[in-house]
Amino acid sequence: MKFDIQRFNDTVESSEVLQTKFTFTDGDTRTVNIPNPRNDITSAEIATLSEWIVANNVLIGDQAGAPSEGIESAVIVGTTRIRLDLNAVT
Amino acid sequence: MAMTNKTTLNIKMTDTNLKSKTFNVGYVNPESSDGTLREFGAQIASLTDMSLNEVYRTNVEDITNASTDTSISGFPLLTNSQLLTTNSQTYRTKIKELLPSDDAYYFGDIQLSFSYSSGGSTITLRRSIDIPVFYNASSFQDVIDAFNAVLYQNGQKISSLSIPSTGSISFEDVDDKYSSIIINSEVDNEFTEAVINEIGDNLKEAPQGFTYNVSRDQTTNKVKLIYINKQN
Repeated sequence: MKFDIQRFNDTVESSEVLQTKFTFTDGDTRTVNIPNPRNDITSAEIATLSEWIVANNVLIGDQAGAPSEGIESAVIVGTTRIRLDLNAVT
Repeated sequence: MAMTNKTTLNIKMTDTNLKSKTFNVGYVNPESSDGTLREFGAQIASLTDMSLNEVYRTNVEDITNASTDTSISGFPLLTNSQLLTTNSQTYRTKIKELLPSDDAYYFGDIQLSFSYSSGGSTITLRRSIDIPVFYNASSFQDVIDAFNAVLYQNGQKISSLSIPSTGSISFEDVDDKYSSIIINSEVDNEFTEAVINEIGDNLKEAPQGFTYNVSRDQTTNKVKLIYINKQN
C-alpha cells in the first residue's frame, strides 16, 4: 500500500533560544538556554550582563560552588519543526 | 559524594501570546539578596521578547543519608533493592494512566537514554524512557527544574531545556566524584515513583558502583530529585 502525504495542511513551528555558556573559576561550565531572544541583541548587551554577573557573584558552579568568570559564548539557535498533516494521507 | 544544600534560580516570563515560560539558570550564590536576584531576572528578561513575571529560588536539600524507611509527604524513599526489583512494565502503564486527558498543552516527550563511559568508550544502556512534557502545566517547570545542571543535550550540559526537545542524558564523571540525573517529582508522587522505578529497571544493566540518592525540596517538603551516582 502506498501512502502519499499531502503537505498543504502541514504546520510549521519555529523557535529560537539564546544559548549562553558560562564558565566558572574551577573550570566548570554551564549553558543556559534563554527562550525567545530578541532579534536585535548586541554583543555589548551580553558583555554587560557578563560583567554584572561577575561583579555581583550571582552564579556559582555545580561542582564546588565556584564563582562565575562570565559568559564565554552566546549563540542564538533556531529550530524549525514541520508537523505533517496526517489527516491528509490518501 | 553527598551534595550540600544548594539554591537554584527560576525565571518565569510571558511571551506576546500570553504563554508563560519558566526556565532555571542553575545554581546561584545562596548569599545573593532578593534584590540582586530580581535584577538578574530582569536582565535576562531584557534579552528576550518576553515580559518578566516571577523570579524565585528553589532550595535543594540532600537527604542521601536519611533513613530509607522514612516517608516524606507520603512518598516512601526506595531502597536500591526496591528500585531494582520493580516491574517496570507495571509502572510504564501507570505513567500512561496518570497523564492528563486534555492534550491541549501537550508538547511532546523528552526521551531519556542512558549511557556510561567505560575505558574511553560510551556504552548505551538497553532502554530509554520517555517523559511527557506539558506546556503551562506544573510538570513542565518540574522537568525544567529537575534537569537543572545535569542534563546533557547533544553532549553539552545545559541548565534549562527548550521544549519540545529530545536529548540524551549521559552519566559522566564530574571531577571523578559523581554524576547524576534528576527527575521530576512534585507533580505527582505516584508519577515520580513510576519514573524512578523506570530508571531502576534500566540500572539493572549499569555497571557496579551506580547507586541512587533521593533529596527533597525544602520549600514543598516533597521528594524532588533522584541522583544516580557513580561511586568513587
